[in-house]
Parts: sequence; C-alpha cells; structure tokens
Amino acid sequence: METRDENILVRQLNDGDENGLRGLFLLYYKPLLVYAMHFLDSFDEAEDVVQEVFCRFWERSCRESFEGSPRAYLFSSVKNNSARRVKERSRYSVDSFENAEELLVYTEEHVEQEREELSRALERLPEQGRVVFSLVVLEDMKYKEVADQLGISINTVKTHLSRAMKQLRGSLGIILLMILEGRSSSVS
Amino acid sequence: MEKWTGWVIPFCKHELSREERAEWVAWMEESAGNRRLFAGATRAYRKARRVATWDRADEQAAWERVAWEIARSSRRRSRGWRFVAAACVAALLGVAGYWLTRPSRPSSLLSWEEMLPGAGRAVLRLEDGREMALGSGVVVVDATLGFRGLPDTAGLSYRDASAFPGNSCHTLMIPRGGEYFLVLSDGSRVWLNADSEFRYPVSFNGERREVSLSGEAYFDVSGEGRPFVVEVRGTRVEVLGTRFNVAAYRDEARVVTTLEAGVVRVSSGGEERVLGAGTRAVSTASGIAVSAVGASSAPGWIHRVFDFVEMPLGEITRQLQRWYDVEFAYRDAGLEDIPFTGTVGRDLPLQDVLRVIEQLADIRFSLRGDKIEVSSDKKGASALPLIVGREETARVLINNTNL
Repeated sequence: METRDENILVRQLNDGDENGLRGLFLLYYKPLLVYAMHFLDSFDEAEDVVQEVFCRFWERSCRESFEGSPRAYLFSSVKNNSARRVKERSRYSVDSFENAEELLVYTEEHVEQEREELSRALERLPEQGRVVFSLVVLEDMKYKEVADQLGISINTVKTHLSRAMKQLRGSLGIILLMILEGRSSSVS
Repeated sequence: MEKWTGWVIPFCKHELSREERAEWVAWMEESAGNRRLFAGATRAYRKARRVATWDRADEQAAWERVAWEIARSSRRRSRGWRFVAAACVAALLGVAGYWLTRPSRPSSLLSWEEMLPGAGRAVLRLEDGREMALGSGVVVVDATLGFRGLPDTAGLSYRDASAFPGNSCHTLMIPRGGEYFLVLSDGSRVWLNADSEFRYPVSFNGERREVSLSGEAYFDVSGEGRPFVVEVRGTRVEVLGTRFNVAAYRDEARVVTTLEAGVVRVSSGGEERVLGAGTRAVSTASGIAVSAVGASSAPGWIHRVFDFVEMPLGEITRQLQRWYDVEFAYRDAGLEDIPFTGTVGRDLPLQDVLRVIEQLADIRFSLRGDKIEVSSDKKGASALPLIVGREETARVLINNTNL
C-alpha cells in the first residue's frame, strides 16, 4: 500500500528506497510542473526542470540523509533551476519571478476551479477566437501551424488571438480571492 | 489589433527583444490603466496555461524517465568506494595536476585541451536507410513509428512501439566519443559503449528476440519466456532474462562475454558453453575459454569509470581511443603488453588519465602530429611526484609490473 505520508516517504528515500522518491513524485509532480510553467512558460522546459530536480534530489539523498521539508526543498529547487534557465535565455526579464506564492499550494481543487472558469470564459468568445486561443495557448501550437490547420493567414491568427486575449482579460483575468485567501497561511 | 496584447506571450516566455521590451516599458509607464490591462491579460493567459499544464501532464511517463536516470545512479552507489577513489584521484590531479600537465609540445596539431571525454550521442538508421542524429534527450518511438522527443538523459525508447506489426529493423550507431542508452520494445535495457553498432527489430514479433552487435554493450534483458539472442561477430549469446556485458570490437581479436546474473549460453565456431553468474567467456578463433571474474557486477563503463583488470596497455589505449576519439602510436616495443589494474573516472580529461599511467610506469605520452606517441621514459616519469595518499587512492591504479 502506497503511503502519502511525507515523513515515511523521506525515511524510505534516506534508506535508498526508490518508493520514497516515487511517492514524493506522485504527490508533487503536477504542482511543481505548474510552478515551473509560471517561470518558464514552456511545457518541455518545465518538465525538464522538474524531472531534473527529482533526479538531483535522489542523488543528494544518496550522499547525505535528507532533513527538513521535501516540499519546501522541491519548490525552491524548481524555482532556482527555472531562474537559471531564464537567465541563460534572456538578459532582461525577471519580472515574473514575483507573486507566485499562491502556486505553492496549487492542488487538484484549484485546477478544477480554474478549468471551470476557463471553459465558461471560452464559451463566451466568438468561434474563431476560441479555436485560435485553444490551439495556441492550450495545445501549444505555433502561429504558422494554426494558420495552416485553419486555412487562414498568420496575421488573421494574431488578430483573433489579440481579440481573445483582450476579452479574456475581463472574464478570466480577475483574481479569485477564494484561492488566495486562507491558503497562503499553509505555505511552508 | 492592439499592440499590447502581442506582448503577453513573449513576456511570459521571456522572449521580448530589447526593442520590444523598451516599447513595452514605455507603454506600461504611460498609465495605470495600461498596467491593469496587461496584468489582467497575463493572469488570464497564465490561468489557461496552468489548466493545460495540469491536463496534459503524463505523470507515468515522467516518472519512468526519472526512474531511468536514478537506476543508473543507484547502480553507481552500490560500488561507492570505487567512486570515492576515482574522485580522490580527480581532486588530487586537480590540484597537483595543473602545473604538471600543462601542454609542452606547441608543434603538435592536437592540443590536450581538446581531448575531452565522450558524451551521449548516436546516429539512428531506419529501415529505409534514413538517418537521424541523436543527442541528449530521450526519443520515444511509438507504435506507428512516430518519433517524440523528451528532455532528460540521452536515450531511445521503444516501449511504446511494442505493438508495431512489421519486422522493421533499426540500427543505432555510436561514434567514437559517444555512448547511448536504449530501451527495447520488450523492456530490455541496453547501454551502448563508444564505437559500437547495434541492430534490433522495432518490435519483437517472432519466437526469439534476435539482435546483433559490433562493439560493446551491457544488457539488462527482461525475462518474458522468449529467448534473447545477441549475434556478435560469429559468436552467439543466448539468454532468457539476465544482465551481461558483451565486448566485440573489430580491432580486438576476441569477443568477451561477462555475466553478472542468471545463465547464458555462448556458442562460437561449433563450440558451446554455458555461463553462470560471475563468469566470463572469451571466444577467439581457437575456441571459448571460461574463467571466473570474482564478484559479479556491471562493467565499469556503465558507472562512468574505466575498470582495468590485468589489462595490457595496448588494450587500455584502444579503449581510450574510442572514448576520447584520439589515436595512439607506440614507439617502443613491449610497452603494449604491460598490464595495469585499477579504476579511473571516465569523466576526466584524457590528460589526467595518461598522467596517472605515466606516474606508475616509465612511460611517456607525448603529442606527435595527430597522434599520441607512447614511448618508454626511464628518467622523466620517475622524477614526477607519485600521487599516493590514503590507501584507497593508491589502490586506484596499480602497476603490476616492475619495469
């Protein structure tokens, strides 16, 4: 029977038991991925960073016994490694490294709520805008690929996307206090 | 179309150019209204991306990639002291080696600095002859022979291709200075060493699982009932489910099969022998010789070390040639036969590895044209300080002869 108790998982990890790492992976993989996405906004790079952090975590536990909160360690490693990648990529932008605390406690519950919000907001967009936004933002397709698939020009893709962004700003861009309130107190 | 909406995605991706960024900053400073617009759109975009991230994440596949990587490091851990020893040499060389090892032959075409250890790279040849260069990152082949790239270790996986109906064969070619990791459709894992070529079916559909190899590979064969057969230069190695290493380089006269666990059958030139765990079969033109290798363990190169056991210098330099992509030339007769025993890290620059050998025997390595010349040197080498410290450091590389 797999446990979700962090203390047990850390003990297994320190004993060299792969199940410890696996348990922590199942607990935190998706929230860490979302956290890395906030900094990197690239599905591939976010996966890369999170997987690497787990590999290094394992190697570290082989060298010395891990003490402390695995969750705090994992989140801060993901943040640091993401920051390093961004630094390699661009000299300018560090802006998005602020205000991500709410993502430290992002769970299935939050994603359900946001998924609901998103689908409601998308329903209110005109057909073409909804399709273009879904392909670019949710399916991660390039403008050129979207243009080819829909048989429209790249400029038309950009126009639809621009209008969708503007409209979604009003419906989806609001801060939901429900998510933020009360939960930030449990940030470790 | 309003310009500012076009900045949202590049902003989140940190891809605004210097000019765009200047324009964006000016626009943001214009009014609080602009800042609210931008912040709102960014929040909306990120919210959508969060939902997409969560929904497209494949936990299972991601875990498998982490498990591959740590499988490697746990194997390493079981032989911890050797690594400690290798690391000691590296650390000592780092300090003592700097002034010892500066290049001294400016007339050469090569420089020591360029002789770096190998890395994960390979070329994949498909059934139709097309070739793909593979570097770091995992490539997953699916049941339609589609290729999907994933980050992480250098490797190729056919796990998703196990349902492929045809008899397509792929060939993986590892150049000198390369190594690669492969998961076959039955889940068997294969580590390929530098200068090797490996041919295998995309999916195993027959009664036997048959593959062919030239060069060196370490196999961890999944036990599933059907025999697994490796064809190597006239020698056949047949197993059910086990771990073993096969070295069959064209420039070596022999094929060496070393068994870590289980049982394998080795046949060559009409002769057949059965190996148990911890034994080694050496097949040459004159037959198969079986010997014990002591504690059964995976070969050194899997753990990123060179593991020399009574190995003649000639064979050691051939191994170094494959990993560092260099050529050695012997000037003095007899040097090739000097045996060495020891372990040294594969991540070290070549110069450091050679320096250790120079210090243990009266041998000198020097650059001559595009080759590294090996000569005997009675005076020079013995004048260098010998790296001897703790017991395990001394054990790292021990010269077995008294030249």
